[in-house]
Amino acid sequence: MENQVDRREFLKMLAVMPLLPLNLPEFSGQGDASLADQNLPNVLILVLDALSADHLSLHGYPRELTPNFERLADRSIVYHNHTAGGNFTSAGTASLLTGAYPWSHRAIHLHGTVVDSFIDKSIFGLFREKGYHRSAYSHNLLVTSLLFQFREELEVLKRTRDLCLVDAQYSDLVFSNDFNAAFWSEWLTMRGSGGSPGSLFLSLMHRFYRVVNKFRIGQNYEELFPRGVPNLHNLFFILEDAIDWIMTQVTELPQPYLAYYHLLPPHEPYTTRKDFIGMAKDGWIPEPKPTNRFSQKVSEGELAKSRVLYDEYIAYADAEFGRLLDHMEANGILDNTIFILTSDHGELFERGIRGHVTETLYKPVIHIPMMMSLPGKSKREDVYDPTSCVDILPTLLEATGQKIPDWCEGQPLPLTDEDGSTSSKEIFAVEAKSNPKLAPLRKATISMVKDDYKLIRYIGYKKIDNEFEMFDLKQDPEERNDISSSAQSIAAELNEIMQAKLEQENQRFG
Amino acid sequence: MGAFRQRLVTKGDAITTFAMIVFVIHIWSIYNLLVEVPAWILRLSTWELVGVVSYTLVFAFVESLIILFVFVLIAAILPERFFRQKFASISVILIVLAAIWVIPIHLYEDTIRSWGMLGAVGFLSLVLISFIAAYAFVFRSSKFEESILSVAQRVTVLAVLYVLVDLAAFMVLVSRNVTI
Repeated sequence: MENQVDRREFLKMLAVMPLLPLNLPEFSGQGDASLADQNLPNVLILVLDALSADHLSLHGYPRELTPNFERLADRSIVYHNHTAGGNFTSAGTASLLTGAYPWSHRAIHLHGTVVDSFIDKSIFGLFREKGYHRSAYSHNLLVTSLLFQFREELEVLKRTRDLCLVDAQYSDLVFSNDFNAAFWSEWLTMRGSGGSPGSLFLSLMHRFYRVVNKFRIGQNYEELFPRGVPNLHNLFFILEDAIDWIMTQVTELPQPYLAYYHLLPPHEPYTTRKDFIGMAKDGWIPEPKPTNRFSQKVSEGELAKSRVLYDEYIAYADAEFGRLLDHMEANGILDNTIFILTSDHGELFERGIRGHVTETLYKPVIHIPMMMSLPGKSKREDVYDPTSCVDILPTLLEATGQKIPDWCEGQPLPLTDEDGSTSSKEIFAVEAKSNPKLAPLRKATISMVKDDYKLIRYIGYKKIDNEFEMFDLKQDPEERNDISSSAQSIAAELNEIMQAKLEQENQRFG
Repeated sequence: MGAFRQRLVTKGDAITTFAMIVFVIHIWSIYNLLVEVPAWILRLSTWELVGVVSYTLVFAFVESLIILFVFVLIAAILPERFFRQKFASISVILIVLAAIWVIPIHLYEDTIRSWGMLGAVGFLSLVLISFIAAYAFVFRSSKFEESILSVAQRVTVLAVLYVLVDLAAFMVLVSRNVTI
């Protein structure tokens, strides 16, 4: 009874209670970094949107336009068979950030978001627990939608518009607490998501505003960007601005930090800077591949032209990346930073398909670059085992002494090719834009790489239900010859593994 | 201030006009919502879907207010006999005509764009001629004016319904944005 608090003391305690949170790191402005071990390495993930590994000379592409990526490769572990979680931004990025495949996180639609149960399962939340300062930025509004979901776990979430020349959106300004729903509505109201805009009159004024902006910016930057200023849906930007900002961030962020920066080039439209125009006009045309049932019927000539534009845009992205690499090297940032350069998905210029809006999962659209530079390591390692973007999260957790959570579907990346720990595991990619978000996958394309084979299965499409293709990646890395009918027993075995996995994942949404 | 107030339209006229504006704008907005909802059902949770619909409805309400404001402002600026005298009938017929012209622009944008500059000038001329003709007809025919007003008054009932739904949508919007 002696320990009982009397009324006066109780009132005193009540009076100071509102001040208590000021001592907690999240309220004091120090961030969780104050709890962190300062010897932990920084983590910097740089994603260049829609960068297909098939277009990089370091993976055997005949056009040599990326000397700076090769410079990074010289001091990194280079994963030659790295696969995205899906064939477009939402699916691929969510897989990278959560370490789970699209059938789990369910960011499977354009501007898709992860299911509620995954909001606290991102890389940002895990690194918060370790005391890392977390910072993120994206040029791509599809990624912004995901980052908005994870905003509670981020200390710095820079707005997309902050590194853009002009942004005609208003949702992030007016409805910053409810960006995603407001943005989806804005898209319908002002632009029409696929159809007509929902606003009868003001959408015309908004259109006029966008056209005027496009014209003004086009005039201002005409000399530097004769093919048009880099943009996506009229959100115009200059890559140089983003790179400059990242340079300041990597030097000034409280350490240790986890920084995720997602930049648009070389995502279409392919509007390279003038210095790179003509670099890929060498007359080279790759040998045509068999037309696919999902062909958009783009001619080989058109595909070759688009490929040139894309490659020249990659050269611009590489040059700007080179500036960042120079800065990091000059300031010794790589000495205490795990630096990852990767992408969210690739791009296709074959089989009559251009870009990445496709139901297919052929190699160029999911084969992405993955280079990891580790502190104190300056020798290149080449890893040829198949790996996936879902492996990045467990790799970073392991490297920073953290436990890998059970929801994570990846496993730590091998650090050398002799490691062999991942050589026989299955690597998946999922495309399911037409499937309901919260239902079992009944309309989807799923690819699985196991050992030397790749199985692509088409589920629920009209006339193509449950059909599959299979390629022998060792004999046919370009995926030209479907061997599903000539190697039926292997195909059946792989199909069984995929089916079991699919049924297991579908159970959660049954 | 008193002089400015004198130039404002009557409350009754403003309500009749607002009802027609709300009707036209909401019909289009809801039509587009219904087109999109099947796709959204695939990808959004119920609460997200309610949110998106609410934003769209609140936007339609705000758009209606802005259009009304423009009409009221023009009426206040112009001499009374040009507009204010027959404010409700003129603005109602103009908003209906504007909708009739704008909807094809939204629906057949690519075709209209393919007409080029000459086509655009021709299209705009047609729009202008229809506006002037309707405007003149309101002054010429009291029967025409009466029928416009009678349609507008019937629409008011529906408009009240839309405004009530907008109000509910606004509450949803507040609940989604206010963090406690």
